[in-house]
Amino acid sequence: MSHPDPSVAPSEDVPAAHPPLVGAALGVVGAVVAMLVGGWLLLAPFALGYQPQDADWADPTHADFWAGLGLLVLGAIVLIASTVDLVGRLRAAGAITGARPAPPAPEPAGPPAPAADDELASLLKPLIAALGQDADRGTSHNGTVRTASDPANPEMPR
Amino acid sequence: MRLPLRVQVLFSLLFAAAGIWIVIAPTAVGYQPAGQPWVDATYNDVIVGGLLTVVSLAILAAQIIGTTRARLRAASASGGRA
Repeated sequence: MSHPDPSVAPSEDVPAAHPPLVGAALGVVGAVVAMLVGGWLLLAPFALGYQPQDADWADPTHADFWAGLGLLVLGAIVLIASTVDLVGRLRAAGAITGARPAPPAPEPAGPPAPAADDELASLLKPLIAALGQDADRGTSHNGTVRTASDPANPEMPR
Repeated sequence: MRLPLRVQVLFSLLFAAAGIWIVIAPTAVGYQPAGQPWVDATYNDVIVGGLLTVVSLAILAAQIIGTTRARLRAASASGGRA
């Protein structure tokens, strides 16, 4: 009697390997830091005051400005590339679905709104019923009893 | 689009190189005279450049470690299923 080798048997408990997300996420973080540093370097000569106003740029201003501009551009490129990479990896891991969320389903059609004629009919229905009852009792609406020989009521059986 | 690990490493190395340049710029460009007290620009460049260098190298290490661990995990998972 032979038992299957457990080291060879397929293991259902092993989670599926996801693409590495850490590198892409850290790329985004690094790009943001670089852009912040680049922006600060652009502003620093004026913010810290070592670039006199209305004067030619000093050496520190040139150095900081061009280094900051380069960092800003490089950071923007890396930010775009890393964001695209991160989104692709998240999509591959199933954290992001490609389909956009479906618009909310339209509400099921209820009974149609009563039209003005229906509303009027429903208002008049009790009145019609009352008039019908009066007619059944054989009385006119002013209380007089109608008789078969009443000429005002030609429909009454005689 | 997938960025290979070497491209991510290249980005981090570029940021680290920029940080190192910002640190040495006062001396290299010459607006910080040797043996003199530091000027404001030197303080700013050393602090900002040092920060960028440290952050870039930390991100570089984390990228390499994270990617290596993910690959090892994937390799062990595929080996367990084989």
